[in-house]
Parts: sequence; C-alpha cells; structure tokens
Amino acid sequence: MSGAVVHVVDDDEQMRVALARLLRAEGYEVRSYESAGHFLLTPPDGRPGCVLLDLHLPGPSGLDLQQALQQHAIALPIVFLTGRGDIASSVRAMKAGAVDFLTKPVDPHTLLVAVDTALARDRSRRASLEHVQDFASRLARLSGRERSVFDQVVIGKLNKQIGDTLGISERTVKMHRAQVMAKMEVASIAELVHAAEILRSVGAPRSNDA
Amino acid sequence: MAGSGVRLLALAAELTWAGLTSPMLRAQAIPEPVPVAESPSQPPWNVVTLIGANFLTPSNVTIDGAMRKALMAPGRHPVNLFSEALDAQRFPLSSIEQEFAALLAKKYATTHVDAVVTLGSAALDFAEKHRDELWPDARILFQVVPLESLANRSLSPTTTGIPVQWDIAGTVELALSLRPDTRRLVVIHGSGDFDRSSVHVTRRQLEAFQKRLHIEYWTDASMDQFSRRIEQLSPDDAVLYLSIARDAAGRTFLPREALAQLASVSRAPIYAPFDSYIGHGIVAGSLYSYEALGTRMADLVQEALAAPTTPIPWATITKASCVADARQLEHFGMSQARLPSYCDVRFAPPSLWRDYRWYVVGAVLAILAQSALIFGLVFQRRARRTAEEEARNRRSELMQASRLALAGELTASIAHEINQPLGAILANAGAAEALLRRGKASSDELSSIIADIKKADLRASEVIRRVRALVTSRQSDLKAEAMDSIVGDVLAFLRGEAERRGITIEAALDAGLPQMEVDRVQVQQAIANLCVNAMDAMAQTPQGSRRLGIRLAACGDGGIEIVVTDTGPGVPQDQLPRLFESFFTTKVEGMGLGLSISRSIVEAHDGTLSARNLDAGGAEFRILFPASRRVTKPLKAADESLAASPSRPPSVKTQGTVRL
Repeated sequence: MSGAVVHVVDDDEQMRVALARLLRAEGYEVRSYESAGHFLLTPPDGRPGCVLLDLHLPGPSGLDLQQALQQHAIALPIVFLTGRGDIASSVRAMKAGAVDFLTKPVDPHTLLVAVDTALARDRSRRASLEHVQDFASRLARLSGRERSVFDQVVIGKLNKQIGDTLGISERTVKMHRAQVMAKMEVASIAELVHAAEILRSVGAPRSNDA
Repeated sequence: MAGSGVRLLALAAELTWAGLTSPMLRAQAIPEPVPVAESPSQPPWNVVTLIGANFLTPSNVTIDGAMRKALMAPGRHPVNLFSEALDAQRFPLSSIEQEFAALLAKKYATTHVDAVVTLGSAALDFAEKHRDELWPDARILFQVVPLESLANRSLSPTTTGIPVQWDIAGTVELALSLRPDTRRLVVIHGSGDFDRSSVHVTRRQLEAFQKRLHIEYWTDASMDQFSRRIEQLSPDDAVLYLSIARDAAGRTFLPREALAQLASVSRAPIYAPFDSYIGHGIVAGSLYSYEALGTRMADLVQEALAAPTTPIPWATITKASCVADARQLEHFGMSQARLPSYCDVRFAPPSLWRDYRWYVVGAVLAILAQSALIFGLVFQRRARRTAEEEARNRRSELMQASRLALAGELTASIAHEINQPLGAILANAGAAEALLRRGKASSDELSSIIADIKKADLRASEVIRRVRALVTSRQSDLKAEAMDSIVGDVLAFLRGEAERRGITIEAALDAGLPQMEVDRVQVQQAIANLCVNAMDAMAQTPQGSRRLGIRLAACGDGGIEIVVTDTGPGVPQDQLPRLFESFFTTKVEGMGLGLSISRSIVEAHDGTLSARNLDAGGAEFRILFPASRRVTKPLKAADESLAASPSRPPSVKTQGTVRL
C-alpha cells in the first residue's frame, strides 16, 4: 500500500478536508485539489494511486477531467462522488471506466472499499503493464522464423500444419518451438498462449512479417 | 269698438313712421283710456237679501255667500246686492216691525229694487207683508222656508223660491243605522220663535218612529240645564238637535254655538238635519247643502228677473244627503261602514293613504325599489367580497403551489446542497472512528473533526431552513426587511442550481439600503422565479457565457430596484406584452404561472415588475418597490391585500418538516 496516493478532487472545502482526513486516518497518502484544473496543473509523478473525483466541479466537471486523463494516458482509476445522483452522468462515468460512482453522503466503509478497489485495479493494471513489457521485450528477441512459429502455435496449429504452412519440416518446427518457449520464458503452451493474449490486448504486432 | 281699433292702427303706423328714437314722441303718443265694455251697458238689477236671522248666522252667511258668488260670476247680468237682517231669532219682530219697515222704506226710497231674496220664514212673511210699501214690483224669492209651512201662506203671484223640507226622518234613520239598538231619542230645541218653528215638522216626521223609539222633547230649559241633562244621557241614546237661538233663561246663541257647547258634554251622539251644524258637534245628518241652496237661488234670481212678471214654479234642489263627521264617529266608536256608501264623511283625520294615495304608492314603490336595489347591492357586495376572498385564497394557494413547484424544480440542487455537508459529516465521523480504532487519535485532531462536523451540520440545517421558509404554508407577514439579505438568501438557494447548469451568478447587492416593509418569503419567491426563469432562458446559451446578473440598488426617489438579467436569447418582441399573463408560457414544461405570480406579489407590495430586452442580448426583469414601502411608520400586522387563507391545513407547519 505504501507509495500509493489518493487524489481527492472536490470544490467543497468541508468535504475535501473531511475526505482527506478519513483517508489519512485509514493510512492512505492523500493529495487534495479544489478543481479539475488544480489537479491537471500538478504534474503526474507516475506513482500508483487513484482519484476520488467530485462529479460537479466549478469549471470543467468530473467527467471532463476523466476524459482529459484518458487523453493524457493517465490511467489512474477514478471513483466518482456526487451530491446528486443523476443516471445519465453515472452511466457516462462508468462507461468511461470509472471504478465506482458513489452518492454523497457516502458511508466511510463503502468509500474505503471503493478506494481499495481502485487502488487494487491500479496495481493490477500496473502489474499487467509490467507483464506486457516483459513479454514484449521477450517477443522482440525471437527471430523471424521463431516469431512465425509463435504466431501459429498460439492459435493452436499442430507442428505438421505449421511445417506445411511455413514450408519447413516438422522437425525444424519442433526445434523453433523449443527456442520460442525458452526465449519467452514459459514452461507450457498454456503460458505461451496467455502471453500472446496479453500482448494482443495491448495491441502488440501480431507478426513481424504478417 | 271699430273706431278704437282704427285709432290704434293709426297710432301704430305713426309710431313706426316716426321711429322709436324720440322718447318725447312716445310719451305723447300714449292714447287716452279706451273703453273696454264689450256689450251695450245693461242697468244692473238691485237685489236685496233679507235675512230673517242676523247677518252672522252661519246658514245665512253660507247661502248668501254662495248666491253672491254665483250672481257676480262673469257673464251674468250685473247685479247690485244689498243685505238687510231682521234678527228675528233674538228680537221678536212684532215690537219693531213698523219702525223697521219705515227705516227700510226711507233707506230704499231712491233705489228701485228688482228682487228680494228672503232667508227664513220670518223674512218671507215680512217681505210679503211690506212689499208694496217698500219695494213695489220687486219679485220675492224665498229661501229656507219649510215646504210644510208654505201651504198656510198666501203668497204674491210672482213670488217663488226654494222651499226646504228638512229631512228629519232621514237623519233619525242615519242615527239608527249607526246605532241600531238606540231606544231613546231626545229632541232638543230652544225657546225662541225660530227654535219652535221647526218643531211641528219634526213631530210630524218622527211619528213614523214612535214604535221603535221612545222620543222625548226637551225645551224651555236654560243652557246649563240642557248641559246637565245631556250629560246624564246614556251612550245608547240619541239626540236630535234642532236649534237653541234663545234658552229659557233668555240667553241668545248662535244655534251652532249652543250645539258645540252641548256636544262637548253629551254622552249620547247628537244628530241634526242642518248643514251649518256639521263640524260643530253632530255625528251625522241628512241635510241640504247651503252652498247648493245659495247657488240655486242665484239661478232663480236670474230667471225671475229676466222675466219679471212671469210666475215661476217653486224650485227644488236635489234630495237631502248624508253628511257625517268622522271625528264624532270615532268619538262614539261608530263604524263608517254602517253609513250609506254615498255619505259624505268629512273631517276625517288627514290620512296619507286617502289624500295622497298615488304619492304614497309611488313613494312606497320607490322605497321598495330602492330597498331592492340596496339589498341587491349589499348582496352583490357580499358576493364580491366572498369572490375576492376566494380569489385571494386561490392566489395564496397558487403561490404556495408555485413555491412548491419551484422547490421541486430545484430538488437536485437542494439535495446536493444538503448532501454536501452530510457527506462531510459522515467522512469526518469515519475519520474519527479510524483514528480511535488505530489509537492514533490526538485530542487536537478530534476536536477539529468535531468542529467541522458541527459546521457542516449547521450548513445543512441552513439549507433546510431556506427550503422550509420557501415552501411552508404561511400567513402573509409584513416586516421590516433588509433587501440585500432577502436577495442574498435567494442567491444562496439558487447557487447550487446555477452551478449545476454551468451558470455564473454576477451579483451586485447594495448593502446600505433602507429596510422595506415586505413579506420576505413572497419577495424571495418573486425574485427566485425571475432567476429560475433567467436560468431556463440560458439553456441554449454556450457554457462559458451563461451569466445570471442580479443587481439590488436604490432607485429614483427612495425606491429600491432589483434587476435580474440573463444572457439568453431575450424575449421575442411580440411576446413581451403577454409575458405576465397567467398560463402564458414559452417553455415546454412551464405552467405559465411564475411571472404572473411574481408580478402579483410585487404589485401587492405596491411595486411594479417590468421586462425588456437588453441591447447586448438577453432579457432584463426589473422589480421596483416604491419609497412608500420604506420603513418609517409602525408596521401593520398583516397586509389585507396579502392575507392568506385563515384556515390552512397546518401539516407542514406543525410537523416542522420540509416536504418537497
């Protein structure tokens, strides 16, 4: 948990102070901002965390800020807080990836659960982000032929089929396959398929020569 | 006649020719008196009225007066009238007859008398006897001589007259019809010759009543004796009074004076057959009108003198007729209804109804019409008051409904305003809990948490107070209010809503204004309506330029203005005049009541509400409260024009909750 920061954005000073106080008491590190602008003016330091965001803010609203963060590829999970729940806004917020949409007055426990969820999501995002980077760098180590074999393997082709497709012998396929497994640092075909899934999800190139 | 006409014509011509410039000429031109007689002059007839009694005897005065009047009427033959009186009622004629005749002879020596009208039997006898020596050739015309007595007289061939036949029987009949149970009739007459003259006739006529009535004749008594005896009579008796010209004691009277004296003490009703008695104590009588007699005599004189030597039969006048005295009838408790319908009832106490029937009917109708009008107006006034009160109640309810609607419209922002501090409270409490749980709670931190909780709580209750003040049903309440506080409250109320809609509020409130006597909530409602209206108007305005302006400032001579502006599209010019009408709306969901209610509120405060479009775009609504609303006098408890319904469902107030 250490190192994570909860960013509280609320124009209402009483609310802002109370939220910060609650989160600090629960052991979180908190930074408060009175408007979307103030938040954006603070340079992101890349630390893990989440945003506790009031939907209605003077000037740009919470939803505006959510959009801006996405555009700036700042993927901090957002928990929305609002004094008046209107369905349209909550749907928009959730579609745009908000972790939760809480209505004030919010029960401290509910709030903490939402913050924890957001932080966990941030962690797992960061973790999967690291995975992707690992797999990507490993993938980069594959030779052209190995990469072709990798692509065929992860879509479930048999060695013989791969050999026919690539015009190489089944034996050669087996050799490349072992090389791929070693380079990708996986122990089973299942792991290899998982790595391929992750890479695909972040849009890694399917094949160097495809 | 023709000559004078010509002369007048000539004179007129002369005047015309000479012109009217010379007063001298005109003065000289006044003609000498022109004779006006239209017919060749006739020698007047000389007529002597010879009165048997004295000049003042009422019957004589009446008859003579009527005759004179008729004879002197225009168009009649000219007449010279002379009067002589024998006064035979009081002075026996026998003793002075010769001397009196001689006096008259001397008196009329140079006057040719054409006719002698005699009044009474004595006068007729005297005239017949002395005609040749006094008034040779004169025609004698008698009057007031009983028919019965004429049979015993030998009259000159040219003598004629109007005999009378006193209707004594008819008079007694009247007495009997007024009092059918009358048993006794007392006939009273005096002791003089005249008094006795009608007794004979009376006895004859009363013979017919012998069976029905006990008839007594009282005579030869002094007036005092008569009075005492008449006092003893029972009301069931009846008195027939003939005359008392002289009583047994030798006192002389005018007969009707004696009658009046007796009537004043009599307990029995008195009747008499003589016209001159009516009004002087008799109840009723069947009698001849002396005035008719006099008039008839005048005709007879004319007829007789037109042909001086032609014998003329006796004249008659119409039958004796019933005359009654209403005062006497009432005095004796007798009913007029018992009298014949033709009976002339005189001296009826003035009766509005009888004398002024149509005036009375008219007046009554007028009063009725007026009453109906007044009633109608009063009714109408009441109906109007009821309607006004009803309208006031409705308006008050409408205002209330409109305030609720306003609150409903603002629900989201109200909820936000309340949830904000509530959220802070919960978060603070959660923080305190966590600190305590972890044993990290410092008392400094805890007290600042508690202080914040209290602050947030107060803030929430302030929001609730504002909402409740707006929506609670209430009586109108005029108080001295600081206008900036009123407007400030409205802005606090609307701030959330403005924020929600991305509207910037630009307020310029002059805090140094004098207090005004207003109903705080109503004025807030009016202002809030205008503000919400302005915010609605800016729905299509781009986000950055939505500005709600509100300005509170002194204006003119002591008034205060509240101006609300927006940056919306403004009011279409053709809709400006209808803007404040009820149910006029340009909004899809609007009821069209907000502005109408705002205006009626402002007007109930003697103010005005106007709208115009701004040159720079947007609309401006301007409330103006006049200087008369400034607090300078003691406040009234409530303004009639703002009074709300006295009986309201008290739910909201007593429960102390806000129902949105």
